[in-house]
Amino acid sequence: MIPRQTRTLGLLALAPTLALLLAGCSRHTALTVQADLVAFLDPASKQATVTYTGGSPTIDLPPNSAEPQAGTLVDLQKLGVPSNALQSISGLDLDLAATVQPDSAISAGSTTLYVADATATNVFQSRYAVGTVSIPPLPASRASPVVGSFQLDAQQHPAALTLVQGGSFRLGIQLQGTSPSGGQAKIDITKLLVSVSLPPGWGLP
Amino acid sequence: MVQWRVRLPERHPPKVQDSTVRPLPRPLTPCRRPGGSALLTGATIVLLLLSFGSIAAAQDARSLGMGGVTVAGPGAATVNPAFAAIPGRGRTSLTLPLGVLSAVTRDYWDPSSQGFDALSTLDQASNLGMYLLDPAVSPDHVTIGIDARGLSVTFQGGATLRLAAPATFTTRLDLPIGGQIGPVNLAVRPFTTFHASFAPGPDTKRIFGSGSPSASGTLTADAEAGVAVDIGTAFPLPVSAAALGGARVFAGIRGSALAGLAKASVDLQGRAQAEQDSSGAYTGKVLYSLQGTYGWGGIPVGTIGYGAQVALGLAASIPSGAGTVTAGVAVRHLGIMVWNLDQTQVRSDQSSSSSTDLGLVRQVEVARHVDLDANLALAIPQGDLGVPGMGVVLAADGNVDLSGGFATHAGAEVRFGPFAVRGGAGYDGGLRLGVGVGLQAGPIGLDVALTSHRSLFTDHQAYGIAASLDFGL
Repeated sequence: MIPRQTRTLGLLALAPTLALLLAGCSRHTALTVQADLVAFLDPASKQATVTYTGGSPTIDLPPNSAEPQAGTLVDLQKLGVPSNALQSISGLDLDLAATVQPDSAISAGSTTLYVADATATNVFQSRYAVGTVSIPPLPASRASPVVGSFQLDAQQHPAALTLVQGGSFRLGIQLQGTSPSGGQAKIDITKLLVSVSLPPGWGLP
Repeated sequence: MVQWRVRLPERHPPKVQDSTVRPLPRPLTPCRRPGGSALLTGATIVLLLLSFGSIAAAQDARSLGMGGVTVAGPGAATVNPAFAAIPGRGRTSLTLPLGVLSAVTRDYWDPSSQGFDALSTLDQASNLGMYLLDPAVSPDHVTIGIDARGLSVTFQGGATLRLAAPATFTTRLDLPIGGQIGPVNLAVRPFTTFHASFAPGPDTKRIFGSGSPSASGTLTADAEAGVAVDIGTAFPLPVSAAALGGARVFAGIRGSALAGLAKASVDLQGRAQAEQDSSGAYTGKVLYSLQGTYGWGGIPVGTIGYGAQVALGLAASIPSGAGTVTAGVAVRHLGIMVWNLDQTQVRSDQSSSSSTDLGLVRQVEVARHVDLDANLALAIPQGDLGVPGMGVVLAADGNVDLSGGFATHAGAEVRFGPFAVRGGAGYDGGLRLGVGVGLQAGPIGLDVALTSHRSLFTDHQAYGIAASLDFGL
């Protein structure tokens, strides 16, 4: 007997269910789940003005995500990854697109992706850093694009992969650079695309 | 009353209240989950119905070799009762279930094998009357995307899937047992029908395109089994052949009394919508509604369905200098069927669900699945073309199923003594192509066809081999 809820969900989600059935019912079909987390962010986390200090400033994306018990919580099951597929996840990709308009120029910049467990009190600890990409200098008082593609290297960060395979984790991106003075920066995040891929045959014994 | 709740996996920590990300409840159901055995049972039943119907409803290899066309004439009296009055040779064909061979030659049936493929299995199971050389294969890569536009699904490699297109599937099995008694055709005809259709809403179609935060659709399906008693007759109309240039006109009528032994019926409409707040961000809730009925009838609930159907046909046989032209038009399945269904009404949304047993509900079906047929053929007898032993048949047909569906075919057959070569094309839920050969040895013939059809739910054009034994009457 199928629980009523399961039957209902199955009927209403016919199209994506068929897609998953096809992905999980052949041994050569791989599945990728992509979720743009911007669609789930509240407006204050997508567009914000944050304060940074002079010297070696850092700007957290999404803003305020380093607060205790906060962060960008990702629940892969609620994004469509079946529970029986979590252990098959071999990696995680993240594409960032944003604009940053600092009061003073920030040079020699980089962005770093952090992946932490769901209960982490501060996502931006060095032990959670899993990838860094360089970004061009950000001139003062002008909105500049910040883009970056991160790939979780399972060989280098097996603990982070384990977190992802758990299905629920937090992530954050920190922009770092040098600046002669502090100020405020306007942030507008346009893409925060998380991708997890499942190898062919993941749904079959 | 059942409340809808999204259940977090137990190993997950409590959801953090001030999280800035509010993911959607899991909108997708994986292949193997709790309840999978019931789903598997349902899928197996559907596959069996498809398989059963595919053999029975399959056109024979002669027809498939001619692109699926039904040749107008006495061999097509089941399509047009007036054809029974046209003098000539009837045919009884037995289509060999070559598709069964794939169970031993191909491994896509076996879930434990590396080659297992559910789409290939569905394609072959729905065409057991032929051995598919290249059944549709599942995509190499499925990408499910969730963004501000909603949910989207894209495919790479393998067959191009058409999951958001309206889909209708109908199979009929009729096994008439009887014969001619004077001017009357009398037969007892066990029958089964299976009809299913899915009509996605425009938002569902966008899931396979630009993306959509909602999905809707209507699913209807019914299966029936019963026994019919057919009484028919066909006769030439009293029209002067001389006045019609030598043409003879025939009429035919077939009445059927139906006893319905079993019926299952489902009719559901549903819609789901990802809730968004005033800023457009997903709130993490899915709003949905589902309503409809399902029911059972016939012997399983201690009742018998009953009804009557009529088929009417007109045909003409027109001699010409090149041969004989046979044409006909017919309407079939005109009638009424009454069932007493043990019906249940279901209503459900995100806040409540209810299921109401409606008890036995009389369902009167008037003129469901009515078919309109037109057939045309030109037969040039062997020897008339000046080549010893050579004869030609050119044929075309069209069918409109008033409940949804259209098919048309055209084909040719050239005979050289006992040998025949054929070819044709048509549209039958997609492009249909066919070439074939035949060999007649006395009253028994063997027909083989290389045929091509559109695979279910895809744009894939599959090729297969079909064979039939032909018994001349």
